[in-house]
Amino acid sequence: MKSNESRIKDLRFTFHLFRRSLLSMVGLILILILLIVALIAPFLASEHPSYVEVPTEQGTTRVEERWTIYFDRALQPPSLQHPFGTDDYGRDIFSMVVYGSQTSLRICILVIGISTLAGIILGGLAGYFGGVLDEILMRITDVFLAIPYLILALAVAAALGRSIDHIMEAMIITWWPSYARLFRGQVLAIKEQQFVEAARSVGANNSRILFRHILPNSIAPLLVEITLDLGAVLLVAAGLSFIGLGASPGTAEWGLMISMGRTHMFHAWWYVTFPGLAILFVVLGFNLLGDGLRDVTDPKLRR
Amino acid sequence: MKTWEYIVRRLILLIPVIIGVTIITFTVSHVIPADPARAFAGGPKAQPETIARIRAELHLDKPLWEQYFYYLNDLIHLNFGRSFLENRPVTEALGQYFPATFELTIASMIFAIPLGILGGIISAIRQNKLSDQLSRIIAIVGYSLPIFWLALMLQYAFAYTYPILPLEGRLSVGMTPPTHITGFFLIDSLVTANGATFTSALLHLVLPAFTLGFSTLAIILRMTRSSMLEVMGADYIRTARAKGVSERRVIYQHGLRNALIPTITVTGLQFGALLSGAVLTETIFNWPGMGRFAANAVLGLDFNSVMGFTLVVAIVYVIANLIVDLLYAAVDPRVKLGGG
Amino acid sequence: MQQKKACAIALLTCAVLIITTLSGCTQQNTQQQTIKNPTTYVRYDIGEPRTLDPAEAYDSASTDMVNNLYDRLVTYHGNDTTHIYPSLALNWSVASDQLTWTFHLRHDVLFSNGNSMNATDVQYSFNRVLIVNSPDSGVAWILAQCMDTNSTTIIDPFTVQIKLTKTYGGFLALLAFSVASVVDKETIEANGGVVANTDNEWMKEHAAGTGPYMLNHWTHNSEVVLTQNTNYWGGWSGNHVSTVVIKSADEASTRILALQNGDADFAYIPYENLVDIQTSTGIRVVQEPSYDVVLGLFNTLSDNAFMGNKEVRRALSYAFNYQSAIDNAYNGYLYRLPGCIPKGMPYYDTQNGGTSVYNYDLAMADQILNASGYLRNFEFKHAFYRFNNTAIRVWYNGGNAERQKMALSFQDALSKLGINSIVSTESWPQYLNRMYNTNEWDFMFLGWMPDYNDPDDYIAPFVGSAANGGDTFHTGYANTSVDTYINQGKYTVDPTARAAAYTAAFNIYIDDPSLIFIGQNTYTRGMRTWLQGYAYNPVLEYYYYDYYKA
Repeated sequence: MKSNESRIKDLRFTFHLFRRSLLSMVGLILILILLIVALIAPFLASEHPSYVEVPTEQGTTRVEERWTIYFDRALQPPSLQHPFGTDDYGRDIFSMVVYGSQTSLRICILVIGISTLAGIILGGLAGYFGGVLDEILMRITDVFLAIPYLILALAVAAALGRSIDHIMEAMIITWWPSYARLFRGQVLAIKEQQFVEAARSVGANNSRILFRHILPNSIAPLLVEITLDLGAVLLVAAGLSFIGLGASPGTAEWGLMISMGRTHMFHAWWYVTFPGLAILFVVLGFNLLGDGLRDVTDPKLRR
Repeated sequence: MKTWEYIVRRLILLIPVIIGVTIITFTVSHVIPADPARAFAGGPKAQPETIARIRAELHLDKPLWEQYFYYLNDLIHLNFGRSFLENRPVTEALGQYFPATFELTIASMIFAIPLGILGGIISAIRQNKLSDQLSRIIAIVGYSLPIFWLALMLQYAFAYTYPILPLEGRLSVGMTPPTHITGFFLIDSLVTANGATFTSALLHLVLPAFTLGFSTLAIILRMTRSSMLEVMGADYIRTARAKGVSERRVIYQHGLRNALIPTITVTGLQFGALLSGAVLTETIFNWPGMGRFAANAVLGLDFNSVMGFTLVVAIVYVIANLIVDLLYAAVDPRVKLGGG
Repeated sequence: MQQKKACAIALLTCAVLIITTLSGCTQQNTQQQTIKNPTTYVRYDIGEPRTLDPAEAYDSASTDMVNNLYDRLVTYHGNDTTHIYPSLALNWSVASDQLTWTFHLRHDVLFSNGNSMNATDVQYSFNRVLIVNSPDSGVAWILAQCMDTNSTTIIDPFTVQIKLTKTYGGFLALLAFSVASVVDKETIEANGGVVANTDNEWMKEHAAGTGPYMLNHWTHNSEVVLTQNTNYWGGWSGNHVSTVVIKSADEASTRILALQNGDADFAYIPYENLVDIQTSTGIRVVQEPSYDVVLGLFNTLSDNAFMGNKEVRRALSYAFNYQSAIDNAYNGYLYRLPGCIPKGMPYYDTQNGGTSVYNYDLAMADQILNASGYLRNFEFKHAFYRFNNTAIRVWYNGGNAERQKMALSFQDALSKLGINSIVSTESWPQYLNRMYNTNEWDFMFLGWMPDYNDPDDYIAPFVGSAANGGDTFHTGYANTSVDTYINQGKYTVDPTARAAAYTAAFNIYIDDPSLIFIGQNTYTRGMRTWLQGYAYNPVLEYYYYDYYKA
């Protein structure tokens, strides 16, 4: 078990190793750029959407993002006024890519965040208490893992309507089983270790053991997986938009823009290229970051 | 637990998984507010009698649980129903599309696995040298690139700008497919000694297999590299070296064997993913396979096709898992089948 | 450091790859100038046939195959839709009762398997359609509207008499449609025969016809290949392609590339991509008027009660930007539609002489809305809109780029009028469900394609009421006067009487609109200049026997 001081020393060493790797730093920088762009989007973009309150089929209201249409300046190549050119509705692609970063970030964080949370809770409980609970969880995750994510995503979109939120819900449903399995595995491995026995013999109750001892030590491998998955989520969302689901027609979502842009590939290369590059760099960033983290947190590679 | 006992146990566990999968897909596809009967009957030009007939055939007027039992009953008689989208039995459609995707998946694996492992080993041996860094970069870009972008770029570059490979499809335009024995064009054309068809099928496989396999190659390379590194620094390796065992032997006999385990895991997972994730590649290269079939079936709410497809993929997934576990036991003597 | 070096090399390679590929992107000239596959015609299209059986084929991909595998008693030539020509029938006459038609058949016709064609096959073919009554497509209705199984009688081996159940103005046009193809009785009897209300499985994927081509193979979702029928009664002297390949390629970029490198002689290119091939050498854009129309539908029975008010619908008809639809959604390839009947069809001029009554005029729309009592206002604060009226629900089917443009454009116009709207999309079966089984929509887009060349095929389903067998779009529209005039037009053969009926109908329904008449698609395709003999017929579509490459 680590004390606080040795933990801090460890972290410092980790960070030092990390900084030495060029690729990992590039990854970090790319992600920082994403975060900054998402934050200052309204100030960075030259054109802005308006927001309209619309009723939903369920009886409530939601807010819809709408971009003004200017058909007379459709499909113009990159210029000073429109650094990324315009799309087939005449909308400024640069502004849409910038605002799209907010949507992308939201997708990544929500999908992975909720999946991880659900996975940790369910996987942790199953791994720790074992028995029937564990068996049931294993079978449930088996079923969900066996169903192709495409089917679930498409089915959810078909049932609830096409929107970013529903795609996210579908992705969460397909993602949490792998985290549950992963975390369960970690918990199984750790709970047999001596320090847990020690804690138990001292009289610590279950929740104390789970939260103070097992959780902190199981998180590390999960962290790497999460960083890599953040990139994968974005690719999956883009892929689903490519097929024709996902964002509603007027929104600025990278995957949707690629999907609409690819038909214009031969006469308006900028329409598909810039959102494509945006996705590439963000995914690259997450992957480099994850790889870097894996390298520096792996005890055997730290020699 | 003996091997065959283990296999049987795993196969029996297949049943609750299948039931779970069918319940979920069935419910999901049947509660969606849609009118597939009218769609299949021709949309706005549909005649009311046609619609009524199709509705009766799909048992759409019965309660949901009753429909499910009709479905299970059909399944037991290996009747997957009729695909209204394609106007033929689902089993016939699957019989054409499954081998097509399977052939593509195998081809991409043949491309990705050996190269990935080799690349990973070389990377690990020459850790931090130029070749290592290059391969790491290629690997990372490989699984960061949106697959459809890669497909479009490759198609454009090698089938159009420099037309050395075919643009799309499984065979040259108008070429008669080989006699159907397995559904794998490469095998069927070899068996029937049809040289022209074999060559055409092979050429048509290159770009799609490369596209599909590239991300797998990247992952396997990365995986092999890191587990090789891990293993190469391990104690028993140093002991072997100290004993005077040659470098090559150390790597291949001891290092590789252990490095293969996570590689096998990844390959198993990728196989399942490829089978259903081939949609994008199949769409761009116009490959008549499962992925495209699935996407069209779900978008067109062709229930029977959706359930048939899901069932097949689920079974393949479970069997792939089983094979992966068996391979574990074969590669690592410490692993006991059926243990924890 | 090695990492930095590696990064540099990788970046350089990427840059080189991207530049070489992109430089090709803007290259419009095609390299392929020598004719590929000189005796084979290749078309790259989306979708694929559903069946090859004339008694079942209804969608255009299927009827296209049927039209080339089989022959009918009469046919059209080239792009002429006004004259009917003999095909299997040498000549015909109709008795004074307007019901009894007599056809004299050719003596020299052989099926592709060598059997000779005679009156027995003709009678068999028509009765087969009515008995099979295709459960899959319901196409039998075309014959059933004026024929039954007692109608066709054999006078002698090469003379057939057809006694209609009621007079039908478009009977000859009907006989030219694929459903009236002549099939080989012997082959079908040997392969499943005729079973009431059941489609013949064998006939779905095989052919038994007299047409110029036979089926070689059909790989689903890949290609259909037809080869020359050496027994064809028309003979093979002269220039004709000997093989026909129809490829399914749903991806537009694939079709464009195939056309450019010569793999395709003919390809379906979406409107927004025509610009990609327009300047390529060796390729030209074929443009023809067609009878395909695109409409906007109003749900008069919507839960938004104001949709039932005809003044609101008139106002909305002025709020639709027709010119934008033509210029931006269809890239100019749309011809304004004044009413139900498309240009080229008889009685088109009964619709205000062919001039549209409604045009994009927001001021007019505003005026009518004020008079109608439909209240609108909204507030706009900090880029946030809040409308105080119920939103108009606009739907279009997924994947349709043109309808998406029109929908979003309509939304724009509506918000200028102070009306809120929601634009949504879903897949086709859901779309149909919404239209036919719910009232959860206010405005939807839909298209219509001709079955045969007669205005009754359009006006009756569009603005006839459901009670009269119309209202095919489930708009809830029902106007008895319009129905009366439609029926008058349907059951008369006299052209003057028909014209009067259709004029009267138009004048009523244009003031009480249930549809927005957007436009008539221009039929556009990409074609290699080496393809000769091509002609587009709006009803028959393609006839490959006339094609050759030079």
